Amino acid sequence: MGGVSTITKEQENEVRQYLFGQLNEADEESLELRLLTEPSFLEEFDTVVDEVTDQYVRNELSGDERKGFETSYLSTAEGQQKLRFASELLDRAETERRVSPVVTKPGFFDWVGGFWQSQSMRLAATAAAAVIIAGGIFLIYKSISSGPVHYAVVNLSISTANRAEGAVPAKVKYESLQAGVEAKLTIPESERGATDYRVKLVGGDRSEHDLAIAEHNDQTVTVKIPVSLLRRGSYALQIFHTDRRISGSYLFDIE
Amino acid sequence: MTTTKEPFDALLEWLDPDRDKAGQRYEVIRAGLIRIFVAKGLSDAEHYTDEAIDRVIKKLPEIRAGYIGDPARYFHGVARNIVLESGRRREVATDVLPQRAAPEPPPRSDTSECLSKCLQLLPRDKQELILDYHLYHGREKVVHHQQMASELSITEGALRTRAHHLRVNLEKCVNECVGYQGKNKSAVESHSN
Repeated sequence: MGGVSTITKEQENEVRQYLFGQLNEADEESLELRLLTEPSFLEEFDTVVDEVTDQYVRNELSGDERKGFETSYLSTAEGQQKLRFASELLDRAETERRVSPVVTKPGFFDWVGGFWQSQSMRLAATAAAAVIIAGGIFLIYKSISSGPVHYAVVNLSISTANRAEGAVPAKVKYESLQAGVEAKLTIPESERGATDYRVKLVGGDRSEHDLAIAEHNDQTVTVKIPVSLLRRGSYALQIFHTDRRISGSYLFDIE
Repeated sequence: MTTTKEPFDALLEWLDPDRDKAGQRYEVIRAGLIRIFVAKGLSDAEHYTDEAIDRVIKKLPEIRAGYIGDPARYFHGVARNIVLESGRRREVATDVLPQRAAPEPPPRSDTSECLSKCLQLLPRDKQELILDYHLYHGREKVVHHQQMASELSITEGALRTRAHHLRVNLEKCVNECVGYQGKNKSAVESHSN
């Protein structure tokens, strides 16, 4: 085994569909025969499994994909072991290696260089820079004087299992909290479409706090949990539709 | 694995007259069966893989002479049967053939501690590569991987493969470490009782 990946996007999608239980019987048979005969395909398959597991941890799968992956792959001891490893690895990468945002538009400095070549633009640019610097100083002053505004963002999906049953909570570093936690809760598909959700924060010490909904769309409800309600420990968010609690909890730990 | 040497030799010969090639084919079939069983939601995939291989070995004297086609196809059929049988067992929930229960997942702190230990075993550049590769998600991840590949002067495909190999070894190290710690804890607990 080894070498550079040769899988096409179409084949990668087939593996993904297979893992979600969405492939038709003929394609499933064909894929399984490749698993039994092609060493290079085995490696590609494993790579896609890792990528899908990462997406599961980061809550990037659709409802159907998530459910399909949970009922097959993740229902096994092997799948749970892989999930735990992926969760730790992604968390470690986030805490140890994140230094600054990625530059998503390369070529900016080339553009600036070209712009600066224009003699007629220099004066206007200098004046604009002065205004920007003054504005920047004002904004920095304002942000310092009005306190922290940064919320640690965490995407959560509902789990009907509890921690003892193997549910893996999201992890938030206590040191990363400034204003608090902004939790984006994915609404279970069967519960979508309502307008009157309510969210409650339950601490490991059984303390309970009703939270205001900061944002709400078809698929998610966002709440901002102020840092004053958070200590190191385990938390669960419960979501209610009118007065009925939706089954399951959104789990996270402050470490 | 319960297979004895002589029938196993016959299986290898059926896979390929060349012993080395037969061994390689066997390893691929075995690895593929494990993937299939896990993907179908069967815990302890290695047990079911051994079961599939045992069934093929037992049937071999009957089928060998008249069988036409790739032996992998026969293994596939046997694997399908095992998946179906397992599904039926789960449906009727009979206790005649109980479903093998998934073992308790290890405590998260063990995995975290083992990940730290295993990362320390890697050279610095590989530690950085594996962590950097898994840093972002969505569009940011795509751009980040392009940048990483460019810095290493390799293609994105080569980067993906390199990261995968590192991850496989790291995961293996972590699983072995967690297993070792679990055994040690059990030993300590049994001594203290």
